[in-house]
Amino acid sequence: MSTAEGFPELDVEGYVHHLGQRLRGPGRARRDVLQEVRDGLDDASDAHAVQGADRREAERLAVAEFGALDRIARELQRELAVRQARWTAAWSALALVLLWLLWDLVWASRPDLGGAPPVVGGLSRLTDVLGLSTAAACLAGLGLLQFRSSLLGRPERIASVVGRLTLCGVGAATTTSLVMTVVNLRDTAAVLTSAPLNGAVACFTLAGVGALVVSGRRCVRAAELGGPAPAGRPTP
Amino acid sequence: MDAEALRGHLESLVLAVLEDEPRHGYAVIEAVRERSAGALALNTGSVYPALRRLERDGFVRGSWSLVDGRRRRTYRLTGAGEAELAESRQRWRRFTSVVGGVLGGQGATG
Repeated sequence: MSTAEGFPELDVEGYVHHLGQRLRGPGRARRDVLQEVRDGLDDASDAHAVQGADRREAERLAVAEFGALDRIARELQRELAVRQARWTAAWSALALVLLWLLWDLVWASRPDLGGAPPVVGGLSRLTDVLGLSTAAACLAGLGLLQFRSSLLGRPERIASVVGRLTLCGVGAATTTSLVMTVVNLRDTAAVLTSAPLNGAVACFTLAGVGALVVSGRRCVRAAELGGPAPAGRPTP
Repeated sequence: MDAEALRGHLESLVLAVLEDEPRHGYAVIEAVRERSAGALALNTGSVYPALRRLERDGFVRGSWSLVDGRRRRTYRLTGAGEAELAESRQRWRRFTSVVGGVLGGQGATG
């Protein structure tokens, strides 16, 4: 089987380009990985050139020695998935705790409002529990990835769990919040319009939830790409 | 010696050549080749993911620096990496002692 499977005549730029298309993860970490691979291939090409190969042949030899694109991409992707998961877990934990504190302050700013249906109290507590338990689970995932990753045979699994946890936790907390808003629309409108800061918190919440959903989806995707090769497609 | 024979030992070899001085990826490959007098030819593409795994585990620390006028990601051993290397050496000595005892016994009588 050709080393650069499906791309037998790639030069260094071509190999790095195709590798880059297969890698997903935080932008800076991904750029670092690709630059390091490019440096390594340039070094190997230089070594072949010193031994007499012309530049094109030197690059082709360096790429051939480097290894199958699929296998190298999966190994590097696994590390990028861990990076993405650390990022997602840290921001999820921070944002969910911050939102919990901010909304407590927002509602505390209007102690005069007290006509909400009884179900609102239950929904409020449920939203708090969902948000804070998701934050705690993300912190636990972050701890595992940060301090015990050497014990994890397949760290991309933890990355996948962190991504799915973020999506489910944020989705569930957002749903209960929206139901609470609809059930208690009059008080919610009164709170949000009573001070500019309260409206700003609502905008921050929308932006934060959107960012967490995007980060969670990236985490799941990065973990999937770093998993084992699909059955029937052995990598050389 | 092919890549298959090195399976399971790649990380230890990388740690060993980083013990003397910080190196970038290709310098790690060259150092292994030189120390083994050319007998160990690492699969070059496997070294970079291995360095990242070691960095994730806290055994090496990577940073960008200028090497021979070019910006390179170089890796240095951490305290945890030194401990892991010592442990790897102990495991290797036990392994060669046990396997050598079996193989050497037959050779001695043959």
